[in-house]
Amino acid sequence: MIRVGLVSPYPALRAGLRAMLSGQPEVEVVAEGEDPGAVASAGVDVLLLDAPEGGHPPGVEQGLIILGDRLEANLLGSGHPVGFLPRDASVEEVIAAVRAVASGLSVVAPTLAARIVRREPEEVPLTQREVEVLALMADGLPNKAIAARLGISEHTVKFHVGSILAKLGASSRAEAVAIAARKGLLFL
Amino acid sequence: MLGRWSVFAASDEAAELSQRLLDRVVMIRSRHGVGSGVIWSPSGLVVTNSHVVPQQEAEVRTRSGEEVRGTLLARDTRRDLAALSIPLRDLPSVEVGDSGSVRVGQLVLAAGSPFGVRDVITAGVVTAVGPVSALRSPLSFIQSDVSLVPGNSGGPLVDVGGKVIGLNSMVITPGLSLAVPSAEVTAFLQEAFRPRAFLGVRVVDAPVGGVMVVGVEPGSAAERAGIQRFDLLLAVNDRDVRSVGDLERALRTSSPSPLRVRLLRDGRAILLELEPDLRTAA
Repeated sequence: MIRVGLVSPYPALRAGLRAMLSGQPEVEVVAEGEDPGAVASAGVDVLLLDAPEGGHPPGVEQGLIILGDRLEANLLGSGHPVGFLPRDASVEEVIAAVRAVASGLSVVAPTLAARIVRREPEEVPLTQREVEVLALMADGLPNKAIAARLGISEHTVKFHVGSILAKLGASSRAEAVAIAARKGLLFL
Repeated sequence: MLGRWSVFAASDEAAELSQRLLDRVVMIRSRHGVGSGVIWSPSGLVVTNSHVVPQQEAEVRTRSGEEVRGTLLARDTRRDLAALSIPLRDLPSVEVGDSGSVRVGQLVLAAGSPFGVRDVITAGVVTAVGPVSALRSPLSFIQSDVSLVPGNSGGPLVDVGGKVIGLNSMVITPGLSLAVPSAEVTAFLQEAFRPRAFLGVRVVDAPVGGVMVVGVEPGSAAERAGIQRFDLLLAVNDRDVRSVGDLERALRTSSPSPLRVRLLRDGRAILLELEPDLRTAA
């Protein structure tokens, strides 16, 4: 029998979950409440959590199933079994997730998994030379040193820096470097 | 009570100390005006306020009359500090004191170029140490009643032993001058010149938390460790990475070797331990 704890600030939601799981073979609701740590300490195997805050609830070492519309990569990559289900998950989906998490697996509902999309860096029309200048700016080099490093004149570097700032919408070198890093243009 | 000869001796000592100090102070001229700087090392490292060198270069004049171009090496606008390199060697440099042991009431000297007038010394006492509520900043300052005016910025505040305990930064009102403690200057220089870990990844913020790898530099530490495009980086040395800024900070401040990188690949958590490449800023 898998012992389940229910956590939600809303009594009606807990009652709904309890009713949903009652009568299910292999699953028994043994504790419920608002505080994840308190419910977890009541000898549960899996915590079914409906909570507004993100992150891993303190004091919870058991498997965790989060109900809602969020997906947290940090929890998924924590090594602890965790499940992410939408609030409109069916009884079958909840039971399947409870079994999986109790077995040490992590599960993500397909509708939420779609959020882990492969992202491409934003297109910024920097020339190859501007990217080289930007990388040296990121290393903190002044124009003179950039010119020496790239074998071009200081005047040309100044021109490139102006162009980089304009294309990135930055008002300073530091801001340009920060924007470029966020846009995936710089190696860290 | 000091005897007559003791007063003369103390005065002589103060005058000698002033001369030694002035040998270690430079005048800095930029498009925005004149300030002062402190020769921090014989190899040409000059420290001043960030606001004294708003651009990448400034003219630096030593007490011996040499005029050279100083190149900005690093800047910290939060602390209002900047480090310049000047192409001179074997320079007389300051001795750095312990700003943590500064006491209210102790005598201090300030040196600089007020209004562009060279080699000026003023004296006073420390009136307070700590944050200044009017600035709404958590940064601590050494507050003193030394007389500072524009041009003094970036000059040294020294104790009676001639050791630098702060860098004169601003005047709140006449009689209330603020200096950045020397411990902050030392921390700034350590951060600016400490090698930082370099992974060799280009990343973007991921909507589910963490940062997604969008590029791996060939031959980099990331490639050697097997980090792949579209990996989701979650933590470095147990510090959560929720944004590109987090990763940049983690690499800058982590003990560089080795790095533990936690990531998510195709839904699976992976923990890598890798030797990062090291890069020195500036």
